[in-house]
Amino acid sequence: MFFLDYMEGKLDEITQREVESFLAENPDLKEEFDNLDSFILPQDSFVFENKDSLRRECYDDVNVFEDTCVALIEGDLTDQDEAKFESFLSLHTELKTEVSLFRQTRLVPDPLLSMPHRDSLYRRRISAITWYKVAAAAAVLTTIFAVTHLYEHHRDVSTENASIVASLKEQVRGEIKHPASVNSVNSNVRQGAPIKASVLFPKTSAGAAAISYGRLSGSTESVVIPSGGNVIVPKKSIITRSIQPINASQLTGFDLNDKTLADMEVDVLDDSGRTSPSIGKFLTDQLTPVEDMAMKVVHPSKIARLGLSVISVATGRIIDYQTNKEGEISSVSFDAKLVAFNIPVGKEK
Amino acid sequence: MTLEEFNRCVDEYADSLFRFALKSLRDEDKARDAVQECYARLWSNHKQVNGEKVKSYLFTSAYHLIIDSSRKEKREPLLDPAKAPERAHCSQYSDLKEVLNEAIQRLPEIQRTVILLRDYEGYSYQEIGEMCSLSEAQVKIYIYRGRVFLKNYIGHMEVLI
Repeated sequence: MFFLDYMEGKLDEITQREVESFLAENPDLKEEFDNLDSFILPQDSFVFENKDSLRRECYDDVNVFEDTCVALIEGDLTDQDEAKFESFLSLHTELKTEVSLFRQTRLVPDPLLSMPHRDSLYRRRISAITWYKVAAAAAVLTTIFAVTHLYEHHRDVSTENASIVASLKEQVRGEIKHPASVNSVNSNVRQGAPIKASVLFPKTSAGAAAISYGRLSGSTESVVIPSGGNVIVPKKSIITRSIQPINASQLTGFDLNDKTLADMEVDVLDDSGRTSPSIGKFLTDQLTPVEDMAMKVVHPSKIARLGLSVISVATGRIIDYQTNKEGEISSVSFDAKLVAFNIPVGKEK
Repeated sequence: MTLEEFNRCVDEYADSLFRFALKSLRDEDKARDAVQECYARLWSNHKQVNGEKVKSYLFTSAYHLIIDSSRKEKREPLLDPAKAPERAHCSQYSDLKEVLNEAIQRLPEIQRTVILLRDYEGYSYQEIGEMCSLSEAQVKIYIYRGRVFLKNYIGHMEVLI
């Protein structure tokens, strides 16, 4: 028993010295001890070559492996960890498929997919200055329109006047020895409607000067002479009412599409029972001289004033005008939030 | 933020924002409306928004809009990849991209959002966390779970194909 422990070196130093002393004193036992020593087996050199396959690493845990795969594709692994993981994968090639699948989970944006109608997202600078410019432009345009309208209006009146005057002259010529001069016609009346005209009759040989303010329409065919009394002129009838001398100077209300003075074949009887061959002649006979030839016709300035008033109401802007003694517009002023101006009209005297 | 900077942001981010919204909402009209809304919000706050944070502001707005829309529709994503083949026929997938798109749509909203922000825009965990009001660790977890789901889905579909 002591020998086995001595051989295996399990004895302490004192006991081991005692055993050696004992063997020296007993040579027969020494011989037996030596024989026993020869039974100790020599140490083998066998090794397990695939020892690494038996080892376990952290990546063998599924959760750790997947976590590492995600970290790998996210770029979160350090170089050392990545090398270690690659080393692990080299030993476990079957797991490379898993890593490949993880790599495929990375999303790649489609470059062809773009925001439709992207222009609608842009913001553009629309400042108040632009708005003011637009407003100012509108004001200027309105003014230009107003002025142009007045000018055209005036010109139309003149043109129409000339036309109607020529017509009237033609109509009354022959009936009145000294044809009238027609000063103005209200252009508000359109074709087919009764036309208000102002006809001036100058002095005639009979001493007449003008015919009173009156009206003759196609329907009633009457002449109204308010300042001197009414003269009803039914067609083909005889006027029996007394006619007073007329001091006015206008005659309005011709319907050019219907009857004219010259066309009226009316027998008119005055107080003395005299018969006038036609209304033209009758009127001529009734003419009396007047000192003041100033006419109260529809002057273009009245039309202009009316137009300005209409524009002012329509646009909601203050459009004012100044008139001179004759009633003509001397200046037009426009006042708005953004712009205000004053334009002199007419020639300065 | 100036007008010019705003319009530059339109050039730079409108498309990516639209892609992000489209992937999340799966409806082009809604995605377009979301982008419009994002830029409208940006414009209304453009004086307060720092130029460097514009992109983050836009995507944060988009994320909130997406969340609101999802809550309205109460859509529930399919969480179990194994059930996917039952609902989607394999023959309709011609390539990985389509499979991946299908898988993305089955992700929970938050996982899809963080992965889209990560992959499409390359945002860091911290940035994504700021946009989605999450901690960095939460973002990592959602990305991890999303990736694992996508991997399993793709792997499952590949086996079937």
